[in-house]
Amino acid sequence: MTFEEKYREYMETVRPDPALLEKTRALMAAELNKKMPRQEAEPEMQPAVQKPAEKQPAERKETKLRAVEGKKTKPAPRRSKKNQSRWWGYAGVAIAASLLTAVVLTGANRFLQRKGEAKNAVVTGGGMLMSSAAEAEFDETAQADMAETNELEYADIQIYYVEDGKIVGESQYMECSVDKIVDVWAMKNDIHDLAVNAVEFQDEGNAIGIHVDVSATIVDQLDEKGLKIQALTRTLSEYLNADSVSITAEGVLLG
Amino acid sequence: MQDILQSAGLNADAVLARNADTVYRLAYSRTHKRQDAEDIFQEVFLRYVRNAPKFETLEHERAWMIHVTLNCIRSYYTSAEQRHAVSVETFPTQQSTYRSDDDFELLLLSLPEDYRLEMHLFYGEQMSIRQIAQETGRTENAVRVRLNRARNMLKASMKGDDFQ
Repeated sequence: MTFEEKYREYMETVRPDPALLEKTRALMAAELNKKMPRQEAEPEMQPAVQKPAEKQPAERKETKLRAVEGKKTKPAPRRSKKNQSRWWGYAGVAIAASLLTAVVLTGANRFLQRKGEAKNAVVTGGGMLMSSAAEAEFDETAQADMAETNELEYADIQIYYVEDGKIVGESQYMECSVDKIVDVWAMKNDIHDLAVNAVEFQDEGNAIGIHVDVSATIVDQLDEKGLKIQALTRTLSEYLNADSVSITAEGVLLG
Repeated sequence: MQDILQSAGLNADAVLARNADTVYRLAYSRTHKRQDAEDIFQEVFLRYVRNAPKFETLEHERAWMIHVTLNCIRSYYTSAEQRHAVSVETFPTQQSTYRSDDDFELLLLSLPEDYRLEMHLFYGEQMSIRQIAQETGRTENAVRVRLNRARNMLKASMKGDDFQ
């Protein structure tokens, strides 16, 4: 017997219970019953439905009068009163919440300042209470974390100015992550900002150079992406029309 | 009740009679649990009554039923109740499945849940790969690969049996 035949033979035994069919029939009937009054109006309901029709002539008259007076006749907005009141409710809650937050923050600031223990206390919007000392400590930790991250992967780019073969000045370092190096266009924009002075310097007939110092990990990461830091640096030097380029990996000369 | 079911141009009773097996088997092929399959079954026919679609042919009706059953299966398995449910049944029992003593049922249960559905559409409902791809939202190639994998899994389990 093939699998298909076996499967079909097996599926023949899988059938819905007669009790399930009955239950489903009852459910469907109940659902249809629920739908019926909406779709088909009962005869007793008809007078109630006709009532608005009686009002129509009066409404039309009013509209005509308005038209004669030269007023614009706009249809009434379709927003239901229930819906309107719900939106007013939301707006009310939002305003109350923001007022309460402002009051609490102001109160907390005043309380701390009066207490005198924490001068320049800061109450942040997130509800975090910090004295200036705690805030400084927090900043230090964050910076240390950032430094640790940067130690792993960075590329520092610096432009230096050469006059008569001597370095006469240098720009600040620009720190780049792998992503930025890969996105050469973003890097070019940044390096152009860094080299605004360099352009003027070049116009006066002087030379500029680019120095790139990279971490060893970034070289590996770029290798994985099929990129060479040398090629990228060359692109940058062409972009700035630099006279010399040097690349070091954690201080060791690469090229 | 019969009058109500035949009213509003729905002819719900006949639709239920014609499609009950298809819908139930499809739901059962995915869940392999009677109760789950029954829930999905009822949901499909309730959707039919709620939406009251007009079918041009019987084939159109069958396609609609299969499509809605697949949707119901999907929403059943993504519902919060299902996501937070912890199954206490590691193995099928007589109460929850058909022929749980049967090797064939156990063999089908060994397939991943998604594969079971495609196997049923192909072997049980005789749908083409293109139709299955349309219904499941996969590419034809993906369906072909999944059917092939399912067949290989079954082949490995059905040692000595005829298999095509």
